[in-house]
Amino acid sequence: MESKSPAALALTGIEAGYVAGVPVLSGVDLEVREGEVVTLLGRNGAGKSTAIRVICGLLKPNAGRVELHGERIDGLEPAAIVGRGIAVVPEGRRVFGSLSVEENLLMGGFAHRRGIAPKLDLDAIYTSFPRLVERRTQLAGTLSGGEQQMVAMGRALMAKPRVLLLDEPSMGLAPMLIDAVFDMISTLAGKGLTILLVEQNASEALDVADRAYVLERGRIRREGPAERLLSDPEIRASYLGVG
Amino acid sequence: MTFVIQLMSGLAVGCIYGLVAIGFSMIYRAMGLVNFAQADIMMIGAFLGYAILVAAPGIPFWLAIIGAMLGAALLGFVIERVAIRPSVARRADQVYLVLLTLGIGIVLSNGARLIWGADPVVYPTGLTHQTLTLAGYPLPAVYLYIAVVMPALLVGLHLFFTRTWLGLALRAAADDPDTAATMGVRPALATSVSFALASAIGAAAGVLYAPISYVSFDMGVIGVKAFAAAVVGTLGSIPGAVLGGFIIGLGETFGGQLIATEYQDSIAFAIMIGILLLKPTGLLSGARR
Repeated sequence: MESKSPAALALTGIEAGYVAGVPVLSGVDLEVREGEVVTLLGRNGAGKSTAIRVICGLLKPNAGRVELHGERIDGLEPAAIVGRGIAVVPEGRRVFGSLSVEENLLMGGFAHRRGIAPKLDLDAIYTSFPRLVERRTQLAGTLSGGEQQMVAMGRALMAKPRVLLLDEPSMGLAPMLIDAVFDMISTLAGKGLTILLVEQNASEALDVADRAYVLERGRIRREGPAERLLSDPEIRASYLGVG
Repeated sequence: MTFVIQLMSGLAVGCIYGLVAIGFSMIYRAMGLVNFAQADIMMIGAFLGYAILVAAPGIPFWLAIIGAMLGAALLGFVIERVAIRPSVARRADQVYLVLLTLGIGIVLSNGARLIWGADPVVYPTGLTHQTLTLAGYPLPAVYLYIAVVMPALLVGLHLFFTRTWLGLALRAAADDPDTAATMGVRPALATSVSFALASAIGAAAGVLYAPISYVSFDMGVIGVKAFAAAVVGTLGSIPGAVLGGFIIGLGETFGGQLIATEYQDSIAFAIMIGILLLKPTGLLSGARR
């Protein structure tokens, strides 16, 4: 076992919230190992997006630590964290609506702007998302939800992350597009990318994930290998709508 | 016969309104704030140009423009950092922020009065009196500078916003500061840079306006007309600001000629009200900006 090497991403005892005295996350411990796909499941308001905001530095935790490959990153500015290798596909996609598709993608490579890399990386993104080629000069705000999701994913990949955070990538998409999004996640996982996937769509998320955590009211209630959670009667009843 | 002169004068003053309006629009887009100090920054720019021309007699006019732009950029950067940022960081209500910018404008205007006095000054350059002849019509020579600087600034701004990382980052941060931050942009720095840039453009307007107007601590009053121009063309849109500037500039020039020049200001606002009644979000809302 390689248990001695630090996890790619580790949250330890994270307490966080937006208003003093109203914690959204209480004592969250979570770990994503190199090359692993980990999913963080939970209902609306469980604190999943807050966890993402803490990891990428948009929200400072009140206690606890966030480590990337053993180095503390909590307390760093978001701009410094992307430089260390974390990219995020935010909840609701958050494409830059008044920028063209190509400008959105380029912005994803902003951390690497000193080289010519972003311009070269565009080709790789267009190969992965051929649909975006014909849309490259179109304003991202005018795209369909599925296309915007592709832009958001392509944009995050432009940062060449060591750890990719995906916040509810299937939200608001048609079933066919949801499948396409999860196919893409499998492809990325197959290339060895380390992924933390936040989802409400538990069955699809557990299908692509190696391990899973279940967040309820700001606390981790369950964790374990994805297949075990898939067959867990309680999880099936509360998150998969079967049982 | 006077039509050509009227047209040229309307276009020239329209360029000035347009440049100040660009400043309004840039800051509105960057931070959702209407900066009513914008025209007073233009006034400071005009005085900076004056100071340069006095300090270095015979210096080319375009160097005075660039010098004033640099000085105003620094001033704008500092104003944003020292006066506006702390209130924005504490989530002050829009009403207070607008009052704050009005206050900054008053401080700038009284500061200028303190430094340069209450009497209008005239640029010590031949440009103030020179005329050029276009198809037999005598026109102020500074129109030539306006005709060169305005398009140059517009092309420069367009290239800056579409071809440079900094320009792209400013637009992204204006759209969504948090998401831009996760890509490596520092949104606070982005707003300071936007403020500096808007101030520099305002200063260019001030220096270009000086030879056809007067330079005085209260010349910032044209800010309300520039604001009308920005609103007519849709606040937040740079092409809209230019369009609005021409509409207000030409409208007040021809309208003033038809009615009486003392009603020029009223005509500018009548145009704004008329256009907003027909299109409440401005002429270029929904267009690519």
